[in-house]
Amino acid sequence: MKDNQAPLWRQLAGLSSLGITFAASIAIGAAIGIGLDRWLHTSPWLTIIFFLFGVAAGFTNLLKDLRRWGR
Amino acid sequence: MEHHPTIFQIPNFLGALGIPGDWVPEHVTMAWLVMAILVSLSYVATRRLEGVPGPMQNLMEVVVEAFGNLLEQMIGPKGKRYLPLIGTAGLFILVGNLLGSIPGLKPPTANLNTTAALAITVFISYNYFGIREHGIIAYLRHFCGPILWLAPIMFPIEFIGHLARPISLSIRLFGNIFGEESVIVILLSLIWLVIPYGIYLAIMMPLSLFTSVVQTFIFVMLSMVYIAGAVEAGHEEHH
Repeated sequence: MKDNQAPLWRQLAGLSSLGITFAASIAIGAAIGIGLDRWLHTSPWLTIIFFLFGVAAGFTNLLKDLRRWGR
Repeated sequence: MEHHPTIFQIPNFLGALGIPGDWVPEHVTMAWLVMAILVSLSYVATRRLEGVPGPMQNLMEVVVEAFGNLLEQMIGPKGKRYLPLIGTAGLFILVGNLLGSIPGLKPPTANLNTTAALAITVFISYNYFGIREHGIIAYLRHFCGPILWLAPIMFPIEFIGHLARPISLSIRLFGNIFGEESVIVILLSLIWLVIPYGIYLAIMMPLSLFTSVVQTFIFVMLSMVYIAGAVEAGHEEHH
């Protein structure tokens, strides 16, 4: 066992949060986009852009969490 | 699903302030009960502190030390600074979750309002800790990533990523405890079939104790990870 490796139960607890954070990022991105579109009347552009931002944020978080917990 | 009232019902004494309803909502009553339990336990444990601790003081010392050790492992030598926040949230969630195992009581954490309050507190706190540690400009600059021309793309991505944290914290805790509570309520409403009672005693009781502890641990540990990320934000980006 490497020195920098977290104990197994801590790894499992951390990894159990991957899915919900991913989904929440996409949902928040889309929500921000829809909100801005309603406010600025630019439908559908900001929804699309912020949805993509949300997906990107989801993957960024996924990679960060995997790097932290998954080794 | 029919409504199962808890054994504590407090009349709504704040109706004059425009808060609707005849009774204080159950999750609020239960949250107050948790606070009362924690306050009286702490009072009893610390009333007469002794060098050779009695059983009560011993138990509390073990609990506080467990939180402290976890903080030092996750955040580093300065981790003990965050013990008040993390320890309070952890003990509140743990006692709250365990209330679900007592018939007639409901866990306050089975309501999204309670867990959202906890998660928003953690969210604001770790951002505050980060700003206190680095100053507001340096903290915000770390949102923009290492490359300057990518900043307009990186900032919304990081921003959304941070907003997703309190949501996932609150929904996970709420979903687990609420689901477990619903299953128990349904099993107990079928109790005249006798077999559900066996399922309840043999499976749901141990399982609910297990979820209570595990969910507390996950909430506390993720909060520590967020605080650690905010406090040492500068060093994290360079590898």
